[in-house]
Amino acid sequence: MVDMKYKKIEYGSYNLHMIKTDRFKTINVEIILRRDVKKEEITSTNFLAAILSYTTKKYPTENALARKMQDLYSVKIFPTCYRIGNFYNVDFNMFLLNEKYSEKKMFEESLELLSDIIFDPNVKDDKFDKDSFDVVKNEEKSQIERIKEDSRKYSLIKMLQNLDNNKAFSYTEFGYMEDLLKITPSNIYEFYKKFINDSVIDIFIVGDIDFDETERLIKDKFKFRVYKNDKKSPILENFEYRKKPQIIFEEDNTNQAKLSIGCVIDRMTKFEREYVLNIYNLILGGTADSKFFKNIREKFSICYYVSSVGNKLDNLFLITSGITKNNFDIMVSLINKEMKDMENGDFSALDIDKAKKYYLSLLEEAQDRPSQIISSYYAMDLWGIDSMEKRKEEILKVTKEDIVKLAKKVHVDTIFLLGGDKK
Amino acid sequence: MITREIKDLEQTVHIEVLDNGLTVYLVPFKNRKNYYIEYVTKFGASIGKFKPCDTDKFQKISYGVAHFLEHKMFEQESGEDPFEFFSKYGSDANASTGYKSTSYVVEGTNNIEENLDYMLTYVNSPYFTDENVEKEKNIIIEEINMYNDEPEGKLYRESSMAIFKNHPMRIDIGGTEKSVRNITKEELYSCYNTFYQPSNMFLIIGGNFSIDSVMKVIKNNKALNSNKIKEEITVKSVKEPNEVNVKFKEISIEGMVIPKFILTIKKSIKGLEKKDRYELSVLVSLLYNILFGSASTFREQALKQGMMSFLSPSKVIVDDFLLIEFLAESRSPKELSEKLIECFKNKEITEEEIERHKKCYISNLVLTSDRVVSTVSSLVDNIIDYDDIVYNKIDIVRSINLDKMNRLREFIDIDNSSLVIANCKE
Repeated sequence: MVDMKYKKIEYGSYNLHMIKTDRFKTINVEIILRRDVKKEEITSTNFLAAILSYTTKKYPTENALARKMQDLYSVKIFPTCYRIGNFYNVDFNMFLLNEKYSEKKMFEESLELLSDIIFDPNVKDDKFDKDSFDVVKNEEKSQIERIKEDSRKYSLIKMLQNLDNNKAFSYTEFGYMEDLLKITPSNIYEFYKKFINDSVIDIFIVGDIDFDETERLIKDKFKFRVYKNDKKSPILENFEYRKKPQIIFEEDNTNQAKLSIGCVIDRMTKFEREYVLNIYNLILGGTADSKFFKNIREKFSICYYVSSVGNKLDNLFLITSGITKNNFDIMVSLINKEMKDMENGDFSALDIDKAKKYYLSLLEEAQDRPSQIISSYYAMDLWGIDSMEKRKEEILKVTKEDIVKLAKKVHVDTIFLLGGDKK
Repeated sequence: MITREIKDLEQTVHIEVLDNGLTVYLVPFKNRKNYYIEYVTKFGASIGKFKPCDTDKFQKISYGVAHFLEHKMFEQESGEDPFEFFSKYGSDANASTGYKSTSYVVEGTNNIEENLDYMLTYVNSPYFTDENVEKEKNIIIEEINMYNDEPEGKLYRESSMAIFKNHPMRIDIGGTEKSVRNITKEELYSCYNTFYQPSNMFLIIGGNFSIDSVMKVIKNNKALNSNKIKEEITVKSVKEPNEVNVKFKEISIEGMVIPKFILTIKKSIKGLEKKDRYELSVLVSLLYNILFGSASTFREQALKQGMMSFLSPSKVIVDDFLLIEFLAESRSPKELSEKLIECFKNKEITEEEIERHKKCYISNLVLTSDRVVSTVSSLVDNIIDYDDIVYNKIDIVRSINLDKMNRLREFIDIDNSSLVIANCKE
């Protein structure tokens, strides 16, 4: 990218990635802490990220911290926790106005605040502040309970658990009630110490910044000490699929039934994972011009949505739709037919061309968003995907044969239908 | 073509009104790869009755027609699917219907001329047949079913009916299964011919494009230019009382796991000119952010007492009504709503709080102006709500003071509100 300069510095205890560009009126900072995903630690990790961002020692109430953020021209700081293949990440995201739109020292002071959030928690006698603890516990509890209100998501989770309850993809990112109940102000502090010490850390900064000045500020504010060298891959290992798909119904008193289909992709090559899968998905179910949309929604009028997504790190391909329960058999057979057509090469050169253009367009657009610029560099760093420039060339190499070959590796494993039982 | 600056946000808007009445707004961005086109008709689900172009009699609009039209605009006589066309260049197309307007959008990084030309053509070429209208009904009913199943959606529906007695906003944008079943191609054409004439529409393009080349496309597009001004649109607003329809209602909703409530203040702003409504809208946002936002005592206390898990205020202006809405999740909804009302009425606001929140408001305006999509969306909202883009937003925010805030608080009466509490069904 012509108007972007990238610089990476490895300090041993963390990596600093700086991306200089004058495209944005903001500066975006992302501190990514990465650990191996463990089901029993998801809830604690979420809890920790929430309580760290809720209050700090210097700003011991939500009110005080919020005021400070407002004083810094409404700097936004928020954590996100998510699984990425074999890892579970916590991102501390911050974005603030470039000082041109606020005033001098705002960048430095915002970094200082972010550093407080990570390194200076509201802890006394090795325990997190009780008031903050209770509030966060309440919020986490509600979040876990609320999943059931979103039947589309809930159906997908249940499908994945039925597919294989031991694999990382079946873990829910909302956490688990039984784990939440075990968390105390002191054991979460123990967990904090472990978390800070064994996370692999990347710091990304995007904006109109000065490399030397930024490096100096980061070194000054972020004193991660423990040296780490982790070269593990985020990609899940291959696993066996059911030769005969399992079909599971769960009753729920709703009008619309939520269909979730989990397919296992058997032994993808690197090229398939990074490129062919994208094209396959875009043709089959990834857009409003896909086979699913055109041939199922538009021709048969039996659903409002039917779409798919490739989960490349998990070796999964997922299909979701909302249907009237009576239409289950016909829907499944229509989906199967479209998938069979992919295996038989029943799609045109134009379909491939459109999917490639769509992919390229997404790639271009990603450069308009700081957070996507960061995730692109992060993926390059974490599992060695190609640079943006190279991706633009490689995608064009995908052939019809490649797509057919991949289509044959996609096996329907679990079909799950939730609800639709309202009379 | 005239050019205007949006003050302090480093944005320039180029405006041209075409001979047929369509207004075009262009907002080029430096340093961006993508462009975003939004083509809007000021026709949404809130219109109840109108006089069709070719008659003298008022006609009632069935619930869900605006949304149905939006779905059906994608049908082309040639059989070509617009999604298919846009995807040729890797672009994304979509459409959405609101109470006040219906929007068609295209977003991409290349071939803007072709996409724009196609968009103007397909939106200006209706093709409804008995058969294709019938076919669409099942898809729309699946969509309605999807929303009907969402517990929060049910709460919203109950709340709308509690606020309004007669206004079409009582009913969901998509209509009901029954109203959708009854929609005919004649009704669609009649609404299309009236509300999709260029003088009732506008076009905004933001992002990466050349002004000259998009203007050329617009001026040469056949379908658009053959869609001429017909006549003034006459809409009859439904008589709606200033008072809320139902003050309090308690229901239980299947599938809801944690109780929630919606409290909505209804305020008639009849007589307040559209251009003065921006300041009102800023004041209202500042008010609820100060009272209930992240730096408020109310929020801190309510969280500490375990009384709520979230509270999100919002506001909307429809026709001559200002609605201020509070959606909250709470295990003791009644008590929380009482505290909320008490705080709204009596909590003192200081000059310092106003200044701090003004600073945040301005920061957010700058952030919005940094993104192509949010810039276009906010301009669309401006045009719908205030009849024009607000060019001096930041000045208006700066002009707000304690005095204005106190006058707002006298003006708004939280006793004219509806409260709907949704409990969980056993």
